Amino acid sequence: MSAFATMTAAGIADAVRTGKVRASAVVRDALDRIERVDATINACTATFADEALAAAAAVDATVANGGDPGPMAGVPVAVKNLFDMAGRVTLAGAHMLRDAPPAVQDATTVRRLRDAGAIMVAATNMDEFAYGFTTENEFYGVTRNPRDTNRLAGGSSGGSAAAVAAGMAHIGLGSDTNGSIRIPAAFSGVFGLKPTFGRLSRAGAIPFVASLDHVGPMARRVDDLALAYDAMQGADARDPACTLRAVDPVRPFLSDDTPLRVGVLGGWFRADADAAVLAAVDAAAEMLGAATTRVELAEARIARFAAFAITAAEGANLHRRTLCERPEDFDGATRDRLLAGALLPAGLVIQAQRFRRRFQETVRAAFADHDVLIAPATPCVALERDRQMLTIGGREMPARAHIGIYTQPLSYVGLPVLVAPIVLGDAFPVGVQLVAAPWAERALFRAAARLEAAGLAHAGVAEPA
Amino acid sequence: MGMKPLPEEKRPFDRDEIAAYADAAARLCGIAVPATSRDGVIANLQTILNNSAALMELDLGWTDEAAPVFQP
Repeated sequence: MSAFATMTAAGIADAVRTGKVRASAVVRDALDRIERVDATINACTATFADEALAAAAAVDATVANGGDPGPMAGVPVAVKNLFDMAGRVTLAGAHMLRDAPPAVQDATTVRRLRDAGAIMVAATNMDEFAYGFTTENEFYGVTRNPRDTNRLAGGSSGGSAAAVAAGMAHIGLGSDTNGSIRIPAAFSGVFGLKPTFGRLSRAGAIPFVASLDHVGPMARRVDDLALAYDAMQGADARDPACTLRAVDPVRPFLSDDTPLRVGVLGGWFRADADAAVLAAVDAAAEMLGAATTRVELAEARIARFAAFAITAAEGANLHRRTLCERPEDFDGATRDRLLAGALLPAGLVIQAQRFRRRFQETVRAAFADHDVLIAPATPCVALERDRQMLTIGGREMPARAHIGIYTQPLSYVGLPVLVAPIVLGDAFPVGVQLVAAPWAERALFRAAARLEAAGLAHAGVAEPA
Repeated sequence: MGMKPLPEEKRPFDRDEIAAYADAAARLCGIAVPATSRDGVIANLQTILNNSAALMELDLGWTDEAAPVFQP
């Protein structure tokens, strides 16, 4: 494995900006690693060798001329193929979009990463139109988990998570409607951030569920996650949900040791988790000095199914014309979910939207006494590829529909959540959700940095067998 | 002594009931469900509808409005 793959993104950027390392060498190394590793993993749907090397040469030229190419100079980024990149077709995991016209401009987050000096090296695999938790795509194949190729990488941003875990890129860009950053981060053993709803612009990312869509980064280090997140912040008139709040950088506060009031979510958020998952949650809680009394979010189960109903109905409405005219062009799993959503009664969907207000108040009350709440990201570690069922509520349930039981109630009300990969001994990584009040991402990063500094949360580069 | 049956309105919908609803709703909504998708659509509807009873029973207040643009 090359030295670049194991360097931090921040370390690469510093070395490039000071002329110690050439961005061209970093990018060539990332492209070589994709070439070597991705035949096994299937994280990438396209690589951008020519553009990436040209962008890297431009970064090197800026440095040579005494300029500053930006805080992410030369950092390789893998982008979920949901995001527009000028001149490229945006697939969103759909075969039916393969002949769509190329994007005329970058998604806002892609543009901001480029402006910071980052280099887009690949587009990554996903569930079709982001409707899934596993990145098992009928057209573009299954993305395998780089830490155990017999397991799933998670989804829908599974390609980005796997690319980061396997050292093909230092930063992954993903989207999260019900858990699509958090679940692949958990399964693939990397850090992932779903910021507050509206914090990062979604402009130029193909929508799925406007009420619930978020975008965010993934990385192997907390500092790198902060670097990418800070680079992407800012208001954007292209996204009506994007906040007008001032940019609130987190990176300067990673080592802030002001005490955090930490609690552990109980009830719904523990009932169906495997013992290994609960052990990781409890280890993180103990390290962060969490209070022993569990925090209950009443009606979390209702919130989860309200998110489920909104997702199906809004997703179906977005794709209604295509569902009617060419249903055979969808991935079979996506088609069945969307068609069901198209048939839901309106009263159910309106009730699900109105309940958001009430659950928002429930959650707000929990944060009166806490800065960070802890919960599992998934009920089990990364699913084996052939595993079909999970035990939920004492009953055997289809695994793929229920992996998001702990992520859905939180994104339903737009809370910021950072997933930290907790590794206990030789056990497989467990994704733990650190949850904060709206707009309080800084607390999440401080908690994650402490878990990382203690050696409890970490994400090395996986070498797929 | 057998278990007391659930009141009719509390009982989960069975597959046949969901199938009848799906077929009627598809026709009324102008959506042609391909034959290969019918079982999957029914299964998805069953999951959503049978888990939404508690949501539909909530007595939300008049001021619990769905927001045009949600602010967390």
